[in-house]
Amino acid sequence: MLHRDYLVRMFSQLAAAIRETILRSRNNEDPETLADLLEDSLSNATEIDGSLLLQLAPESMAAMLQFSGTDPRLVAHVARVLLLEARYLDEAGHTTRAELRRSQAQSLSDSFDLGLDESCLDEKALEEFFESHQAEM
Amino acid sequence: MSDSVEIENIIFDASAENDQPVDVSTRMCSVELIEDDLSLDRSLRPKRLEDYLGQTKIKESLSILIEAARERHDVVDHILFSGPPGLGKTTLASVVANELGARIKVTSGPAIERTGDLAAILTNLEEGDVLFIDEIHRLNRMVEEVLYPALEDFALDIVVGKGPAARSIRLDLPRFTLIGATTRTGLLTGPLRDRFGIAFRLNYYSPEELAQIVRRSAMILDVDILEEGALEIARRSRGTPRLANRLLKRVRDWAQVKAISPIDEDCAAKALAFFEVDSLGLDPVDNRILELLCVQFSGRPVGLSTLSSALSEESETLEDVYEPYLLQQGLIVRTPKGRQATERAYYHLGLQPPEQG
Repeated sequence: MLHRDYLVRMFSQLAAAIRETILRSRNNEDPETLADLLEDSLSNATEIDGSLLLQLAPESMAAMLQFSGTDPRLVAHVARVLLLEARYLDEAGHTTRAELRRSQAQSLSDSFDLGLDESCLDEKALEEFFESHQAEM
Repeated sequence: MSDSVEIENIIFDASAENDQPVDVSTRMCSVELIEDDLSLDRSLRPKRLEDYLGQTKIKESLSILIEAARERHDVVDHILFSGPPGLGKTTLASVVANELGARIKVTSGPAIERTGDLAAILTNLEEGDVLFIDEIHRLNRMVEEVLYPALEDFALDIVVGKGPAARSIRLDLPRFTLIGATTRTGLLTGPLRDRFGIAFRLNYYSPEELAQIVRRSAMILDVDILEEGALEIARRSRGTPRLANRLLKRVRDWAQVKAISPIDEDCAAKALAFFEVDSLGLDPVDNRILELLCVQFSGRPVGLSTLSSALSEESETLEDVYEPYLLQQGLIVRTPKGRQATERAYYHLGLQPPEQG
């Protein structure tokens, strides 16, 4: 029960962060700020300290989340956050960091069999994804 | 993520008054790495052991280590280089990596602020890579503890969860070689020091060795220099290749403006005198210290704080930057009562030493 509550809270937090940045990007807000906002949302998303997790090499990040038994549905949320952050970072001109985030998202997708690609960031696809997970809980 | 050596920006204020404290990093005789050295460094640094001049015993030992590791298809044990700045610790690290045909990742102790920074570096290593940590004595203790299992077991321990639910998960790392460099071996903790398979202490270079380095650098920089000219620069370089290369550049500039070529002993001596580097490689601050001890304090022992006040310099700077070379040259001694000039200091200043007893 507690674990389910925790997951619901995490799903909601990450979904809210994604929705907020999409909304703010429509108002041409600084992409770097949006990337930071997404990064902040990951600080407590998993059991691993966010600042450490985000610095890990892509394969190591996936391995850590696997070893720590992180719920695959939560990983799917994290992967989307990373992929969207990569997009903002690209817009902000931080291509190296964007590449790292994209690789991390891809590595999570490969390890957890998430089938993640850029089309998953379409607003409609994202909303369907959020709704399906909320409904599941 | 920090994977480069941090270099402080140096601003040289040409209008600075003489009695102002000197920015030690702008001293001509400073052995600290300055911005000007960087462009020079890339072209002058030897790539292979056979091109590396001096430190013969260390080179022989490294050669054996590398050969043995190659035959075993294994990584070389972790190596610690210690010694004063400017003697070639970083260069040796890149030479080792080149000899191994391995990639080298360069960082420094103070650049790795958090455990996450180190985790990022370690997890991005590939099998056989060389990780070079300069100023390894400045690693913070938390980071240092993450390094222990990485050095011993090639593993990274990461804490997952919080409070009573916290647990540690071990992540395997590729086998790698850590090369640490330090100017202050005494500041390394015992556990870290013990994890290095081999430690080398780099010694100051002889004038003959430095002259060889000067000639090699001159060849790369396309500067025409005679053997005696190279030796003159070498004699004033405080046993330090970094300084020898820097002085070579200044002598080159002077000779170019004066339209003198090739650079001979006289030219090198005049150029270095112009830049206030004397025959022992002392600069005006060093000579001022000797003058204070010999003349102002009449040869009596002087406490560090008194001396630093008289010099308008911080005592730490005096102790760390100026004193070592003066002590090494036998120009001053440390006594229980304070610093005292030796007979050699008097002769160097052209003074008669006081009568003994």
